[in-house]
Amino acid sequence: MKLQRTGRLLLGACFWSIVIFLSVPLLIVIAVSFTSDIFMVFPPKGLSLQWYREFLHASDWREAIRDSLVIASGTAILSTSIALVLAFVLNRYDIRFANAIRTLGLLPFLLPPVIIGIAFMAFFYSIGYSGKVLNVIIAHGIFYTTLPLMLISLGFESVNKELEEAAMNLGATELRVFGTITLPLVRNDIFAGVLFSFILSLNEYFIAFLVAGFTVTTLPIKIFSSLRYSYSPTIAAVSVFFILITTVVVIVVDRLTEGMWE
Amino acid sequence: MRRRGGKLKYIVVYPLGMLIVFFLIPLAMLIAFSFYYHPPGGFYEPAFTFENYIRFLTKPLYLKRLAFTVEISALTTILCLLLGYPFTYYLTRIASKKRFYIILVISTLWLSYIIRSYAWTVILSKHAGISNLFAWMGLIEQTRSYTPGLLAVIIGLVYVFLPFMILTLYGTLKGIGREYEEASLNLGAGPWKTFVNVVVPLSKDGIISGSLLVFILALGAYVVPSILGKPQQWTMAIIIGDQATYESNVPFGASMALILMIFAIGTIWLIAKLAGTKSLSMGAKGT
Repeated sequence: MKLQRTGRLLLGACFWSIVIFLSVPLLIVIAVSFTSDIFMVFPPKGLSLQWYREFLHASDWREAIRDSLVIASGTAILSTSIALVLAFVLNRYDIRFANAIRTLGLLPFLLPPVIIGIAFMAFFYSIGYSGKVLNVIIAHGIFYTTLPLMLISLGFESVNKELEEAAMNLGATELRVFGTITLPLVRNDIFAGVLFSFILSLNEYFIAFLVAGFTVTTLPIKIFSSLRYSYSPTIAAVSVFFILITTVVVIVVDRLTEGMWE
Repeated sequence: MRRRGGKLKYIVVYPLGMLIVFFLIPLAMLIAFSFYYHPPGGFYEPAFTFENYIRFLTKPLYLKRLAFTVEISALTTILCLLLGYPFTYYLTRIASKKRFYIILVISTLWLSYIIRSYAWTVILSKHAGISNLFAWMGLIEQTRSYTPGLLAVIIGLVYVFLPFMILTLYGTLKGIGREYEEASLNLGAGPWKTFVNVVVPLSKDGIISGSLLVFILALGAYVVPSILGKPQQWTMAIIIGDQATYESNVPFGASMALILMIFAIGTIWLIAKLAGTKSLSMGAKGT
């Protein structure tokens, strides 16, 4: 019995060390963001909100925020619309090559981002349209189709088919059944998909950099280039913005899908 | 139920068209570019040459980067498994407030690699970092910086990829019924024996999926080694990115990207073959 106790204690110690390992770096970033010093020191000598002010007022950061939000919104719409239509057709109709088409939708996220990034570079150079915000939206939209596709497919599978049959037997058209019965039942999964690809796009650096890094500055691109020159606490303030928005989205998705990760 | 008739199914042309035009065609362009010619000082010219592949395979510099990338990915995978397994086991069996910890893991998972690497540059730095704590405790005489360097890269990679391992293991470990462990204990096996002979073998699939996932992600790592590493710790993704952007040599970048992809797919295929396991899971519902 003594051995069991020791084992349990060891296991608990391991668990708590990893909880600390996962959370402390982020807590330190939050602490640094409130420092009043020009150079980053820990612990901060005084408290101030100056770095948040700089982040929200400096025009280069504001432009990065704007571009990032435009790209993330476009990505969310593009990837979720592709995922929704694909999940719907694959779930409801017998179509040829269904498995191949599903794999095609799941594949982008499984390839290393460097492959997707260089492939899009080659593609956009060839058609002579490169370095634009739209290019990043397309690249992210395709790359992040996978997760909404998985979410919405599961949503369609859990819809009670009898409800739809009843509506059809009562004379509703296909489109009407979809609009009034199916869509409301998978609404949460769709919304989760939108939030998911939004947040992933907002956080993504490498593909955006390869596709349009020299002309478009997203927030991650801006942070990355600032890191090369200095470790200004402004970056910590920007990081807090990311930590907050990412955590909120994860909690909302968790509620919407009733604990998809459990 | 499958719907009768149904013209609505033709809307499949939208997603299918998008995936063909913006996914399959770019991949085909990637392959085509890998055979293109890069004129010195120029950009690229359509051609069919093996020059890019020959350059990669004959220069020790590039082969060394590939070897380093594979080694550090393997090391990251092993460390993530060693840390992630006991953590996840505790989480599924003992911890209360499971949802809180899962949300913590997922939130760090989706947070940009850049911010997570930045956090470690702070912790490992000379003036604000952990060395101040060590010096205060008297473990070292002077504060020092641990970044950039190999140690920083390894810590960073484990930090960013550990959540993927945890989530993959979580699905498997949660699914193993307690009755197996209880039966083993009742039959007289100690807790350690039960763990090694019952729990670990039953979670084999999760161990393999999680390790494969982390290994593939680490093979493509770019942000962590470029923020926390010196040029000696640069991975393939950095070399590829540099060639395609700063060196304006997209053809060479494309050929190296393909070599990396073949390597990644080859590994998945080999492991899946050896272990006879199911496809990779992403840690979502039902895995």
